[in-house]
Amino acid sequence: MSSSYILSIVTFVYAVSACLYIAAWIFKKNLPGKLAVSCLIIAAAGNAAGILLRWKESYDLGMGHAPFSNLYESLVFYSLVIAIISLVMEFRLGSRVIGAFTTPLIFLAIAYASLSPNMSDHIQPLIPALKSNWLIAHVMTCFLGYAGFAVAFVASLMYLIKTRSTEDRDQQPIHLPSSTVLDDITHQLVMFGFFFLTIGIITGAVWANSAWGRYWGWDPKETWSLITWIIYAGLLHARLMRGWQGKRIALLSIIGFSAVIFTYFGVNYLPGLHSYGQMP
Amino acid sequence: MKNAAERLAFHHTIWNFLASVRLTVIVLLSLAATSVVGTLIPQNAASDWYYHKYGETLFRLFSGMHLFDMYHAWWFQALIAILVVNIVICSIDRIPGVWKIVTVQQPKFNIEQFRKQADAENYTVQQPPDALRERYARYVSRHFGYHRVENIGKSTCIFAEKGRWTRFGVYGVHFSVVLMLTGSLIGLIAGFDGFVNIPEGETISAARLNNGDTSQPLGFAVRCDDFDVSFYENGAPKEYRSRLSVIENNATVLQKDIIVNDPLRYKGINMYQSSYGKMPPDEMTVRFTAINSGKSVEVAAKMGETITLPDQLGTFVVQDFKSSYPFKGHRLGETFIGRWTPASGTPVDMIMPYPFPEFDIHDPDSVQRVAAFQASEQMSATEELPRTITLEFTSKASGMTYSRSASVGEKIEIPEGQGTFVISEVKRSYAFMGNPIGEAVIGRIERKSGAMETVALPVRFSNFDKMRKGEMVISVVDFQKPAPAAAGGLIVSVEAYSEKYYTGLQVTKDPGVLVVYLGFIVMILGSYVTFFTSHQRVCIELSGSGKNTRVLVSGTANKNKLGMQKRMKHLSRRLQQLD
Repeated sequence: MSSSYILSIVTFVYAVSACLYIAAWIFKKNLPGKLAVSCLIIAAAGNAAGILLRWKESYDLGMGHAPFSNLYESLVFYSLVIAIISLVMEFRLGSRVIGAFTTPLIFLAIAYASLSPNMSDHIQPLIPALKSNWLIAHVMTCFLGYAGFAVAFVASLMYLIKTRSTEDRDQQPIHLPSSTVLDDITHQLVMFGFFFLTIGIITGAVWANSAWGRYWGWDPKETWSLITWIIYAGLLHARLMRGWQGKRIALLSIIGFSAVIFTYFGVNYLPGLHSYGQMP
Repeated sequence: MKNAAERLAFHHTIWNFLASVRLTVIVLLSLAATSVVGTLIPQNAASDWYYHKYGETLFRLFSGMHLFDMYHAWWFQALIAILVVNIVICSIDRIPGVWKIVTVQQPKFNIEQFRKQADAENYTVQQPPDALRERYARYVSRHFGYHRVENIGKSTCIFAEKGRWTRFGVYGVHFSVVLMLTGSLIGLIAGFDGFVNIPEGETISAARLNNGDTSQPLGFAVRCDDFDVSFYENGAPKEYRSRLSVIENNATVLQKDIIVNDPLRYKGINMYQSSYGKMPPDEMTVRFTAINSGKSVEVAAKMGETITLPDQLGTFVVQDFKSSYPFKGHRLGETFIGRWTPASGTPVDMIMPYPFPEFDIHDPDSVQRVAAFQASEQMSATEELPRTITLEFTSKASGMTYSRSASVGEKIEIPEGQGTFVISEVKRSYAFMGNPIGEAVIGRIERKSGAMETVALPVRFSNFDKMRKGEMVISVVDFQKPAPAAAGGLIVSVEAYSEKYYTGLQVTKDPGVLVVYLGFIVMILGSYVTFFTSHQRVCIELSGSGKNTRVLVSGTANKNKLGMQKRMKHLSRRLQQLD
């Protein structure tokens, strides 16, 4: 059984998990909720197994590199990290609602990787610039950061839905964690994401210095990661120093995540050195 | 007196503005917003490329705003400078207050503040306060850096705190930004950034700087002993490897194979594998085949050297080598260009594509074979034939006439410092005021001022350019067309040639890197402290008398209030479990 095959099954399990989470949330039922968590854990385990198997397969093919070298592999890893963070947050909050928002996102990411016709799931040999020990550290920290921001984005969306539903008296209040909790986890996850994005940019800089002879070159991907970093730095300053909370922080977190998405996908349409993530 | 007071107030306002978070956020957002522009406009491209892409008006506008190298523009650097000033002043403004909190010997605890905490934990134990006091104090002392026991009114309070120093974390992060920017400034002032190509077997001792055309001596010599490129089965490059020797005082002091990601470092100078290419071959074996008799002869030749052919066939000289040669929409690949001078008759120029030794320009089959071969490789090409074009520049000022040769796309200097000239294309049929006037060379003049002008030079009308009334009249004097490889019944082909690579190295010196890396480490540690640790203060109040004690467990933290709430729950649970 090949890793691509396992990962396409995992995509399906994520979809089932997402449906169950949403059903549990809407109908406020316990059983689908329990099933949803089990599905998510199984999918994440399969996702991790798929990545490890792919790693082994690349050694069998005589290339021997970590599976973090193209858009397909990065999306698969991204799905896994979001799933883990989502499970941790669910456990810490004691509420399954967050899964109803994260699992569709995970499904979108991995389905795009597995099902998109112009995405290559072949294991490719590493080009010379990618042959470095920094590959693993750089990609892992960047995607931990991106995943933290993704779940923060989800919490911000939930916050906005929550406050809108409580403002609107006629409407049935939507079953969501309290706005204080949502505001707080947004902040926590932004700090988590910011910490790892910082390390991701730094490891990238050290790597660039050993491969290209400069630690910073204003390459579009570098610049966009800095733009993302600055937006979240602005969010943290606004919150910690000027006491911003609630809606304004939620909006900043959504803007920040759009910058993450652009850094991830949009930059491929700009000229630059970071073309590994491009579609073939 | 009033003036002095006013000045003081004014200074105070300025200081507060420079120390404000408002300024930080404004500068950060300006940096983010302007950085976007630099990712949309490709940076540091050639100015004629920009001119072509954006047109004259936008070109002037962008150029005036320094948008073609915006990250080094004065206004972008000024934003960074303001950020540094903001960070430094903000720190100077706040650190003394934090210093007091962190270094205080007897921290103050306000019992009312702890009692007021909404999420304080309460429970009752059926033991007298004195029995609990010792046990609780011991537990707290194990988990907190500082604690003291105080009697306040009728109750006993155990105050404790830890993580005071974590209040410095954020200043570590701010300081690290200053360190990184200082490091980059050191690199800018004391470092350089250049490039050098070294052919295999040759030695260099200087590199060409990337900004400007100056040459930077390295202080030692570097020889490229060998260059190798290997490929994967799918054709993607696998490894570029250069064997370099560092030579000082005629002795090899260091030898190293460099690959991408593993540069050579010597005396503060780094050499990175960056590109490679083939040198024009200088030795080759040329075969001459008479079409009629089928008789052929192989001759060893050197680039540019005239050889005399046997059987009164005249002389031959290999003049040039192109790594790629387009012909009638086909790519012929590596191609030699030569000139055959028959014993009687005029010289003939010939193209000799190495992959197609049988190539005969007059034989339709020969061209078709090339086409069939390339269709299988799915190559498509619509290029025009490149031509070496000889131009004459006649200066109005001095009356001098200069002759210059160039091929399409090649930039040449216009004599007398009038700027540069590029032949942008060759038109098969050029129309002037509605009348076709035959083949014309279209070129572009770029003056020192940056101004551009497009000129059309019809081949048949050498005085055409006088109409432009410029400082130079340009005319086409020689419009060389590639000649057949088989002329006069002779096929000329190159059988073998000496293959030699050069390695392209990025050469840098950056003494600021260590400072930048120190900044990286401080940034990571500082971020950790700032985000994941806090200054936690706890109060355990034991009140009541006789057998029962009411216990209040309350805590505050400067960050992560919800986390502190959980910690207090945990602490009160642990205290209740103590025996």
